[in-house]
Amino acid sequence: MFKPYDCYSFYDEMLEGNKPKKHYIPFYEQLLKFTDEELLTKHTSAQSSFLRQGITFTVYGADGDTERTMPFDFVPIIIPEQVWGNIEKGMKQRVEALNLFLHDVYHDQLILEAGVVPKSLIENNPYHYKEVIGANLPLHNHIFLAGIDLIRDESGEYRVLEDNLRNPSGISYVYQNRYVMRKMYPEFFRDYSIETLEVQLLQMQEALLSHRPVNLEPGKDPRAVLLTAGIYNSAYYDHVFLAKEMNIPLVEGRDMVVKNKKVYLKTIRGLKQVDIIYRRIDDDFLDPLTFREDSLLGVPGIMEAYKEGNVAILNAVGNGVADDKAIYMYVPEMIRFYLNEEPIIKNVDTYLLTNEARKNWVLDNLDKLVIKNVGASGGYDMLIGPHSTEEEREIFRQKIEEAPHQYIAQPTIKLSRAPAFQEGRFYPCHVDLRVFVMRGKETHVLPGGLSRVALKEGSLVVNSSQGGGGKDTWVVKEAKVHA
Amino acid sequence: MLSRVADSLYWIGRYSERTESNAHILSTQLEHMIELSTEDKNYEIEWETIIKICGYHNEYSSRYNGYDLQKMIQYLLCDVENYNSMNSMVESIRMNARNTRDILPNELWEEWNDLYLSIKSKERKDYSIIATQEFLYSIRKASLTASGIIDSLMTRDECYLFLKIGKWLERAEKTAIILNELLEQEGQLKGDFTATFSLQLTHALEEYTRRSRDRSNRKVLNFLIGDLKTSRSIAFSVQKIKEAIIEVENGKTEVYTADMFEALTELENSLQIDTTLLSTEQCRKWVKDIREQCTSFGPIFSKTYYLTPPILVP
Repeated sequence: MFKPYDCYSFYDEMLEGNKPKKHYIPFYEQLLKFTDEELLTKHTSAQSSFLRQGITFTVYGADGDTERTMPFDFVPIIIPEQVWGNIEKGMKQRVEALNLFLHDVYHDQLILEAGVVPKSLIENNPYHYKEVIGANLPLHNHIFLAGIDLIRDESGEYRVLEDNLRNPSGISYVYQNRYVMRKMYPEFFRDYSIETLEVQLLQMQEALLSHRPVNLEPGKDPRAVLLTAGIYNSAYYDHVFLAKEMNIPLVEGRDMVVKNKKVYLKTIRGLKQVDIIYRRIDDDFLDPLTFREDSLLGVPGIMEAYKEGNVAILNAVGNGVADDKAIYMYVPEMIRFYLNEEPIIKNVDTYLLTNEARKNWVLDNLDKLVIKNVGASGGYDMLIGPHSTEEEREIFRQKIEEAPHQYIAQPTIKLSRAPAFQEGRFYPCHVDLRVFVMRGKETHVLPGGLSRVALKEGSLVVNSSQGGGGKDTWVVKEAKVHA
Repeated sequence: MLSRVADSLYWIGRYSERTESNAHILSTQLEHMIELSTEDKNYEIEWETIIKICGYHNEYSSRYNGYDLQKMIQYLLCDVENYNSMNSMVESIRMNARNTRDILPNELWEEWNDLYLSIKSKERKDYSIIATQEFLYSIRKASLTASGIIDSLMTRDECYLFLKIGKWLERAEKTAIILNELLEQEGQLKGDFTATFSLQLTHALEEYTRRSRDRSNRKVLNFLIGDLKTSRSIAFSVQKIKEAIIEVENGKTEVYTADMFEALTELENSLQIDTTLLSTEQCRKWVKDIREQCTSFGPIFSKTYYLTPPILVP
């Protein structure tokens, strides 16, 4: 049975002292009615439901590859409507500014001229692609889908941890978590009125189809596809899910060919022209003629068709210049520069290490800070000071000395926690929240998003590749509290 | 429809049918051999024939010695190097289904995925007849359920038709293979056994018994090749293939489909021969020709629709 635990100095999503917060009361009361055996049975069937659906990612190992599911935890993250309203506004604001920044970087570079963002950060950025400078994009939109990772600090304030503007994955998990939650734990929904997720995929489809390439005849229905790396890609289920829901064919690079700067699909009745490509492979792999020669996933010549305005590629090529961890620091300034507004959701304090004095201060405080590689993702090449050994710190000391521009430092934030139920017992785990922002003619934010949980006790790493799991996320209009 | 998707669907159709029919054939033979002593000369002849029908005899004899039951079960059920073994085929079906998940009913994916997971979860150590029969039963049940899901849930569009074309071509070819292999052994098997055995292996015995009392070899042969009422005959399958292709083509004949229609018509004509006028030798050759025509139709069909087998980059 669930027993409140000591929250210490952490912000807890569910508890305040040893009592549930108001919006968690109906959930809490229902929770007390279940025995551990009942919860364990539900947990097992929830987990096997993911396996049956084939919602797995492949782990490559010495004794063969195995397919694993992302662990699901049933204790939802519940967000009251008013709190969510503010996050939603903040996300729209942030992604709008990031899009203006991308457009600016690839056109007039006003923000660099004004000295708000240092030129060197763009010029030395490996994701700044000269090939797409000046490209005329449909709707001037670089960001069709963004995944913004939020955390809450010890006071409960939401802050942005990371922007993902290339190929953020995880929307299918939002839907699957809700699906499994409704199926296996219907009891918990009784006293809540929750924001539904039913209409957002249609909005996403509409947003996708509004990216008409410049040369597409007016009035003609665009043919859109989702480009996947194939069944061995770890996000393959995400691709299947989105292709199905948006009703567009799921294609691989080898299903397409470029002729006369136009992209065609190879069908049983010959070639058919493609107008919009929602690609889920990285820039580097898109076109072996422009980028990596060894890419088997892409389509030779596709960049020519893109620059010619014969095909739209979403998200746009070259977005990586706006979502690395060094540029992240300047996002609040971008919001002020382009929108003349104050950021609604703040960043986590971040220090660049290119300044000698700052670098030395960071090196002296490695045991208190988090160090991240500016180009890495997925929780790799990262040092969490308070959890690190002397040896690990020494390795990072050398890395920083060798390439200070490659790393940033952040204070170790006491990420908020929420209870998790795994292997038959409850314990508090750190959580974060990936919020999905979809942009076309209009901008929509998926209510809630994907709550990720670090299931290893005490761990701060929520990535599924490193033992993280998922939780359902509810934006609640109201919770009926029994007297 | 993408050529790659069409190719996957076609192979899902073929492999599903092959899984079901091989499971049925093995199950029939396991039951049948119980009454046969391993010393009996028919034991070897029959098993050799079964291996030719469900796998590759050359491959089998290059890696296994003799006709020990355990070895044969191992080869036909779980040997991953044999791509016609039950395990290999279930894996191929699942992979192709995964490759086309965006257009298949979710229930169909789940059915094959469940079967795959259940095979993966237990390593087979028990090769007893009872355990093997249970395993084959579960495979047949899953294949039949999958067929039912396809018929109740899929839109009748090109995707459906390509699945069906794969299925019917596989069935036509399998019936032809069974008849061809049994006729090759005819002199060696006991008396009128060939006819009954071919009806058993093609799963048509019950139906045939209900419809006819004459179990002479020629009658049975005519039935399994030319009868248009039994879904187990070659003629029935060929008719289904033709109907499906005409639907795909909206009733028109284009230049690029000419070769395919010609091959199909040739096959149809071959099926219409009156066997009463044929000698035993001519009859054998006739069945062998039909088998070859069935086998060569697959590549002609694939070429017509630019089907490209999946290249998988792990």
